Amino acid sequence: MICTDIAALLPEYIRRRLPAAQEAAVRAHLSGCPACAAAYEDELAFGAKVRGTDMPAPPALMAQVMAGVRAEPHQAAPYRVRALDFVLAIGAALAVGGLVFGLLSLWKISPLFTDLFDPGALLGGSLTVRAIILAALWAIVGLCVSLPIAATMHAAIMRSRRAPVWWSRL
Amino acid sequence: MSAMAIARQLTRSWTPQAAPVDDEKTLVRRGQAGDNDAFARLVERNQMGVYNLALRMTRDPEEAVDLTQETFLRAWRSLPGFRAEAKFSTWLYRIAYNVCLSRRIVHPSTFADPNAADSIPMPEGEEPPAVILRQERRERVVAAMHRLTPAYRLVLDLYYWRDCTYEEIAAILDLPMGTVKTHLFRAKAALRTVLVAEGGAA
Repeated sequence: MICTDIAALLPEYIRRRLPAAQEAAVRAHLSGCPACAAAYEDELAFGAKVRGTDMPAPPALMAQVMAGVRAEPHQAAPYRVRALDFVLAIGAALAVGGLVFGLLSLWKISPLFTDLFDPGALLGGSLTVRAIILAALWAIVGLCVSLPIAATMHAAIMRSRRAPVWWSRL
Repeated sequence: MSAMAIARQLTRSWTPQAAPVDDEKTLVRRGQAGDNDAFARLVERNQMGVYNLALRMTRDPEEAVDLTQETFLRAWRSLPGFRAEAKFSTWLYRIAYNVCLSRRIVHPSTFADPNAADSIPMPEGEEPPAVILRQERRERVVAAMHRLTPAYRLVLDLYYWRDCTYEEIAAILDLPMGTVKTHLFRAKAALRTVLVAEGGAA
């Protein structure tokens, strides 16, 4: 780095806000360049001189500001999409779907318990393999059902411009 | 370890640690939900910075109070839309700058071209140099600052008094960082010149 580059970096060097490599380069340059070392001292002195203390705020300022604020009606925050919203919506939809299929299974009216829908059996797999294949297929079906539900829930929240309290706390 | 103790430990490890109530983000969130007291804490913490910035720009304590009030009121109105990506103070300074713009204390064209700032004459100081000489260092710097153009005062105040970074100043003034650096460089040179001219070694 040349001296003009160093001069431009000195204020930030003094504030220790330079990237480590740049800071090291400035430090190395300052140790070998008396002109820049003098400029550094000068910048340090200038900063110390001008960075005087601020005036205290007038004692009544706080009360005046807050009186204005309290007189102002509060506006609701516009709702912003979060990734968590989608995850929660999908989770909720899957849970509802699982509950429905579970109840159907109890009454043995779910296709899970018929021989009509058992692709694992065609492959001649063991009971475990058949169960895994079935579970995977139902998960895909569940996602196909839950994604539109999640999207609808999300759209409804976005339309209302405000998340329900229980939702915002999550 | 009893089952109860295990359950207690599990519950404890699952319970999220409560965020400090005084944390800026928490206060902002509470303020966004309409909590006046949380906003009051934010005002309390930032009033000195905004007031002093206003004082620097207006050079009049009464007008500075008025400008500070308007800044906080605008902040309260726009708080629901504030994204906590920036520091709250930086956002406040941007609002204060906008108030300065709407009151024509500073004009955006001053910042558009760093070279144009050079041609703006420095306003005449109200105090004769002999009086300034007798003043304390702080008053001397304040008086010297008051002789600079509003644009110079603003960038110097943001950098040296508000301790903003180049990025923050660029965000506040909506300028490229290179332009901010140029303004700051020139403003500093102008302040040094005024300080030297008025007897205080810069």
